Amino acid sequence: MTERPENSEDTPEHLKRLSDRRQLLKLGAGGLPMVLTLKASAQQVVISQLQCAFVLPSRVRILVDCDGRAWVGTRRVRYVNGKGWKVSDIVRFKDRANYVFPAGTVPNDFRPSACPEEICDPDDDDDDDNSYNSSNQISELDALLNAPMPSNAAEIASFAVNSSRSDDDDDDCDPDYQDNGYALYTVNKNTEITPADYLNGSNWDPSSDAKGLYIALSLTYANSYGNQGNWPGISCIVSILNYLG
Amino acid sequence: MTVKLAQHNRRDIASALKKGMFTLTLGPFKHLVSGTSAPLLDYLYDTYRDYDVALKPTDVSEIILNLKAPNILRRFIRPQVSPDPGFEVPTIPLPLKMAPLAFEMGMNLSVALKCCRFVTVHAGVVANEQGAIIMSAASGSGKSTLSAALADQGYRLFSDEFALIDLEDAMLHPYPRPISLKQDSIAVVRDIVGADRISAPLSGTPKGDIAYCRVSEHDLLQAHKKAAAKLILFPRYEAGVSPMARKLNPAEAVMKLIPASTNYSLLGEPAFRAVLKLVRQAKAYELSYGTTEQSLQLIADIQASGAGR
Amino acid sequence: MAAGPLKETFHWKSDASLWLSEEFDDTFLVFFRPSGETHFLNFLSFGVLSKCSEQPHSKEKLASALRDLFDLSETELPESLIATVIEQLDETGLLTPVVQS
Repeated sequence: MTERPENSEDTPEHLKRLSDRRQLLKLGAGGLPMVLTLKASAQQVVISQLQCAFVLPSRVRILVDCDGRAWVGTRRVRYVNGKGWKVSDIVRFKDRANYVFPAGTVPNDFRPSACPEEICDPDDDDDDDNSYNSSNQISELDALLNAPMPSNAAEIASFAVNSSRSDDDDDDCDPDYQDNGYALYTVNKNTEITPADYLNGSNWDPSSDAKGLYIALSLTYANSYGNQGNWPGISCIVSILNYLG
Repeated sequence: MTVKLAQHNRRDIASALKKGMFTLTLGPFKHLVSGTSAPLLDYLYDTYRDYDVALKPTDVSEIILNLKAPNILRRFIRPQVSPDPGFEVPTIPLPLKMAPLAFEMGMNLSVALKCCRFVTVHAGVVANEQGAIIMSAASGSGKSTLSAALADQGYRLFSDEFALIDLEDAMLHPYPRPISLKQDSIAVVRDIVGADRISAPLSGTPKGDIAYCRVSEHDLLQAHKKAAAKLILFPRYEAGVSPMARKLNPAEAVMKLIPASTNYSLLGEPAFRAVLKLVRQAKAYELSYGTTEQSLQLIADIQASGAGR
Repeated sequence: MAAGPLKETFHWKSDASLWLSEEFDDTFLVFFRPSGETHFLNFLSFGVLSKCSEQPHSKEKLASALRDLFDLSETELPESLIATVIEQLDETGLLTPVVQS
């Protein structure tokens, strides 16, 4: 080890060095680490890619409609036995969703088993089947992902709620509730998810539980945004995708 | 005897692969490969056509890779293949048609985790008469595309996956395996190098489409020639970003290289000394860019400024 | 590596035969043989390491010696910052406490 000679002359270089050092000391007093240890190694990365797991920092609720759209948020959606989903909750959930995924995103196994065919409208006695307007369908993932996007989500919400009214032949429906057309999944806070558990060969096989649905949505997210954004666990998912690719 | 793979009879190659006697010589390594799948044979016959191979082991092989079904069931029902590099490591069984991917993954695992003669850094490397350029970056940063584009400009491709840094003199060893391309980069590189250099895409992988860019015969012929590093780049692709190059203090470069190494911690002091030699002889820059053209221009500007000569 | 709570009376030493260093423009890379780890030090943390490799020093003596060495005032280089650096170097094993009799 050799001692560095100190330049005592007032050269511009020496003065700049002094100034840089004083600045560094201020940062040090403010908490900047003065010693960094280079521990990370791609060796661990290679090994850990498949073994990574993540813990959800907060509860996640996923609302799914018949067309495979998904809204991801935290709000409650009430379901009353004999009546169905509370429509105002659904509207609010969609309004305030953190992420919105377009039609076709959610695998069939997770979509609601019963889907509406007609709109329930107590003021309308005819039986027009106008429950679905294909022009309202979401075409591009990029246009919808990366919520929050309240205006867009609200638009989708109103469409989706209208489209999901149950077909009630006696028109004795309650506009505040709808009894089918949605499925709700909840993944609790602090749930640990190990994505590799949902791999079958090179194929993702998420069709088992709410965690599997979360993985399915994560893959869609990763395909569009990679590691960007705040989707919980995305770096783990992306590392596995990189390993596979 | 070692001759180009394409000069061997296809049946003989299949037989050698089956018997585990297929020896691929590339750069500093001999690889002993075994496997029985037709997609692997097709892939090797196309993408590795210009590589030197022997159908009987001629020497000790440093890398031994067996591509096999993960279990007896998967040999027959929805057949799968899994790379076995001869040591315990997590691998994912892949459908048989993805045997090329399993092969490349297995080769990467072997070099990354078993090679102790060099400091291995996850990086693309190209070189010309002035020296080598190391491009260290995470997946998705455009490293492979940049490697292919520089190779197209006359640089020799050393590797798009690993910088092999000699422990003694910090020279870089070529290891020109096919360039791994994903998704959009397939079309970009196809436009740069021509369609005949790109393998048939493997579609339906969880990562989307994957293809490989064949290494030029010229680069393979020179795969024994080492080079000293002149530039160490840390490229970062981000759509829409303004191109920018920031010069790094060599210590900063070391800070970025060490986490990208697969065996630095294992090798210890010799690796520390080799990496110091490397950063003393080369200039280091961090690059941000939004297109391949921008990245090439940044590199040209750095070269023109006198750095990296 | 820290053995326990740091005490004001500790002196600190470093065995220079256990590490290698290289300077790049006022930053230092230090390879510590026992742990096999590489550390990134700035002029101050390396200054502490250097001084402690010459002979054991107390926090106060280190602060005073480094102020002289780097032409800094007491305000610019407070003892509390030296204590922080000692703690961080102690964590790596590069510094070890010496019990003064």
